[in-house]
Amino acid sequence: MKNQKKILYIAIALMLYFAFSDLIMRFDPITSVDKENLSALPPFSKAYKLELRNNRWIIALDYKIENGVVRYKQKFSSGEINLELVREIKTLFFLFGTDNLGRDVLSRTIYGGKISLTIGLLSSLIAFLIGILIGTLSGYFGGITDKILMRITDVFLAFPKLFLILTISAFIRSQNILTLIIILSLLSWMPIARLIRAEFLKIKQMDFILAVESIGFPALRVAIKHILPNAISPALISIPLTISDVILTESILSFLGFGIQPPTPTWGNMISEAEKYLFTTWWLPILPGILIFATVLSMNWISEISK
Amino acid sequence: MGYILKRIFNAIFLSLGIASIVFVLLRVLPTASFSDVYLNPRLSEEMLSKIRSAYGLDKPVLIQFLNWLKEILTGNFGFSFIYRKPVINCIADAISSTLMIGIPAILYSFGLGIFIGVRSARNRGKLMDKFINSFLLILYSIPSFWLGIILILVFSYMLGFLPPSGLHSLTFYDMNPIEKVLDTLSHIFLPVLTLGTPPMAAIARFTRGTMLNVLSQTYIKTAKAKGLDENYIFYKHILPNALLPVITLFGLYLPLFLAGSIVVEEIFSINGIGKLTVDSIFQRDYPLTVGITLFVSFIVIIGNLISDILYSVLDPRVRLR
Repeated sequence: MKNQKKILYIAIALMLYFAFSDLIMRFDPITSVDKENLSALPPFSKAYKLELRNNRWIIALDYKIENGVVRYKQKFSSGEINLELVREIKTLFFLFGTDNLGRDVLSRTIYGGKISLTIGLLSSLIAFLIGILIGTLSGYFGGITDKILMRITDVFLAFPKLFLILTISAFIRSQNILTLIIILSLLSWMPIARLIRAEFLKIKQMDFILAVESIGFPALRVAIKHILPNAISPALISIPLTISDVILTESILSFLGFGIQPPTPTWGNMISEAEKYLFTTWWLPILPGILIFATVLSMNWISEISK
Repeated sequence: MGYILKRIFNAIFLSLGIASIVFVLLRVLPTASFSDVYLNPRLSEEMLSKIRSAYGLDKPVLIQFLNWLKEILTGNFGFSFIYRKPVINCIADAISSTLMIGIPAILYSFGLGIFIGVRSARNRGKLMDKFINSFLLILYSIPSFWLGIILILVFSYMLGFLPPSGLHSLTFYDMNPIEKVLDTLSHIFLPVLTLGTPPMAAIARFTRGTMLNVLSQTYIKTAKAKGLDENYIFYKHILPNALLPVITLFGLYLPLFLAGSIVVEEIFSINGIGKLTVDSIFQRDYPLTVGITLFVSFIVIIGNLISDILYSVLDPRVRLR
């Protein structure tokens, strides 16, 4: 009971994240207000946005007001402007710094997380459904159907997954979220199918199945209404592991440059971009990495406690 | 013997299955086979059909598949567009770098993993065991590419005493043998740590599980009741039985190490199989991509076969299942 509560908390946290991520995102994750002046600011940096009366703005790293004149400093220059022309001065605070194109790391991570998690959750869901379908067919009908389906499963399992995914994405011209979800789910259903099949073989031997079969219920109804509900729990337990596996694979793909393409952020491609400028902007890979790590850890932990 | 034959037959079947999936990929996907991309647009239709018949592309698909299989079996994986040499030679050039990281990483992950697993099972229930177990779950969940980047940041950028990339220093060929060894060790330390740590944690957890399983068996109780020495029971009865299933992990984790090598070689700029794969995809060198995929799959199948056979030799009960 206690463990179910913990799982519920994680699920609620995920839902809240999806619902309110747009509200906590304080900056545009894809384009910067000022590419030049805001680029590569370390964590806890502040910048100022001087909004002018003519609807333009100036981004300054520091400013001072002296007898009616605002003196401001930018990255490579400084200037001054009459206070009367300035409508408002806003403080921009970058908790986790900005990247080389002047975008807020926190906002990008929040936005990218939504994409990474969507891909992870949807692919796992589809993989789960495919696994149930194949496992049910193979476990209930047995015989030649079982042999063929299990052989196919074996072949898919024998492929080193990452190499196969890379090969397939080599042939796909434009990778988007949909193609990525399809590829990942088509290569993740095998363990679930095996689990379902094993449970089916066990339950098929039980007396109550003999009973419903002898009443004359059609095969489909026996398989779906009587066996499947009893066979599904080991597969349910394996879902968190599938999710963590898919999220890791997606991040590795994005990291290698085969996933979602920039400027759209995902946790993986943010780390990939960060790697190029590692020694000048060390703070870039920290936050997305910690979030991938935390997601994978919490999924592994769920599967640990639900055993 | 029947069991081993069955395993071998299964391995052959799997290889055939993989070969046919790869062939289907080559045929079905639009950019892959006999692609317009690589043809001279000024070739006449007559010339094209001549080329097609020269490469056997006018024959039925099944015949083409068999021809292709024959070439694969004789070690002809195709010809790389970019490197202008046979795919198998490209792989042969790259594999030594991969092995230089891969073999130490396998030794490290299995050695340390088994050690920690055994120790933690012996001290089960204690605070230290619980702590180590949680810590292993954390290590197991770290994305390896991120771990690599953090290691580079800490050891190369902040502390500055380990090189961030490559397998050798530029001055490697002017060094004396001892310096060469030290230079290589300092270069492979971080990649091996990156590649080996997540599997190490998984192996430690698995070993702990099998140890606890054996500890709860009745024959251990019998041995204790006979008054045998604790250490004797441990080394003679518990350890061999607990370590047997770990052998299967070798076959299971081989794909993990190969996939890890893609990431590690990319981060640390090592010219191995993994980097070759990524480069071949970026340069649209399909024969190379497909050749590496086939090669790697065969390696995984052979690794699984070896670990299965080894397991059945060491534990004859398996053959009866």
